[in-house]
Amino acid sequence: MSPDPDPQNLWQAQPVEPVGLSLDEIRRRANRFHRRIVWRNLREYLAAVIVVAILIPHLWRDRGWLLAASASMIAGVLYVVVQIYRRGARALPAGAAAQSWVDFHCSELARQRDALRTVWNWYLLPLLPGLLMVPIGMYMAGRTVSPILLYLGILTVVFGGVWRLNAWAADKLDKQIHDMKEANHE
Amino acid sequence: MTTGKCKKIVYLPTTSVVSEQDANYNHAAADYGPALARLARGYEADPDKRRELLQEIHLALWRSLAGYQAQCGLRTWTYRVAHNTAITWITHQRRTRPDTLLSLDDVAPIADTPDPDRRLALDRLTQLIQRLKPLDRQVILAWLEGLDAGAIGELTGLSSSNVATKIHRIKTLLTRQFHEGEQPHVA
Repeated sequence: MSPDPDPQNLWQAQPVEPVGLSLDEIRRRANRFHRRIVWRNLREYLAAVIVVAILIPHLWRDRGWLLAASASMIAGVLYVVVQIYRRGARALPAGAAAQSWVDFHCSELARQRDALRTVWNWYLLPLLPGLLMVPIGMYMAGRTVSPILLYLGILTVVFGGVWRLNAWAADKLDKQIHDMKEANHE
Repeated sequence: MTTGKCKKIVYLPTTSVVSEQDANYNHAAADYGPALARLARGYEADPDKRRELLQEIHLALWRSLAGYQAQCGLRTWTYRVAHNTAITWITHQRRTRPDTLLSLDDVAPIADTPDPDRRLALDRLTQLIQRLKPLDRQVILAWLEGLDAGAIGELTGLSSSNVATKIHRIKTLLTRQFHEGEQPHVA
């Protein structure tokens, strides 16, 4: 038969490992963390720069609807970059990590849910006008209908899929928030 | 201990704040360092990852203390940062190492051995904690550290009746764990 240990005493009396981290080392790591965030943001901007660099020659090469498509897509990408910057800059305040668990978890879930719910507005919609002008330009340039329909089909599936997946994930997060609030009022 | 919710503040990194941040960190690490190490044990079974988690907690604590202006007690602040960091940690770990976490109602005691010593009892207790869902885990860890229902409510944000219910379930669960040595069951 097992002995009858007092769980609190048993827990508090256990030997513990030292953290093995000086204050100077903590400061160094905090700086490294900050640099990692800066590099991550730079990578995102670099991807946008590449897309814009690919589209810019079209401003001189294309005419009519295709020119408008390129210009619109560049504007859309720049808008998305600004949105990524604004949303990234909205980092948690230093004290947010010290919220109660329920508040911390609910606010984190709500933040993720809102980002997913609004992805259509700030990520998909700005790119859509340019992407829709491409098939119009193709049609005006005398291309056959089949590739245009294929392009529109792929566009619909990709955008519809991204929107649906995000909406599904946002609903799941919403349910988690609701369950957590319900559980706290039991 | 100061009661009430921590208010949000704006972080202004000045020299005096930085030195105060260091002083508060040293104070928290000295007073609650062993509790943080135990807390890390409640969240991470792997010793190497546990050391990493403990360091993450200390790093997060130091960073958070830049915004500490005694909105609540240093103990509450320290535990909140530690738990939130640990929960973020296990959430991230579960993406690469999926496992099933249970609620206090669903978890069963770990199987007893014929003649367990304190080490085994502690190992079983630790395993039991590591199987719990984040909120239940936070409550049981706080209770094991000797925090009362009011302090646990302040720490977690749970209502006092909810905390009382959970503590009752914890005690029942631990009684079954240590007195009956029940075999685990699938809930």
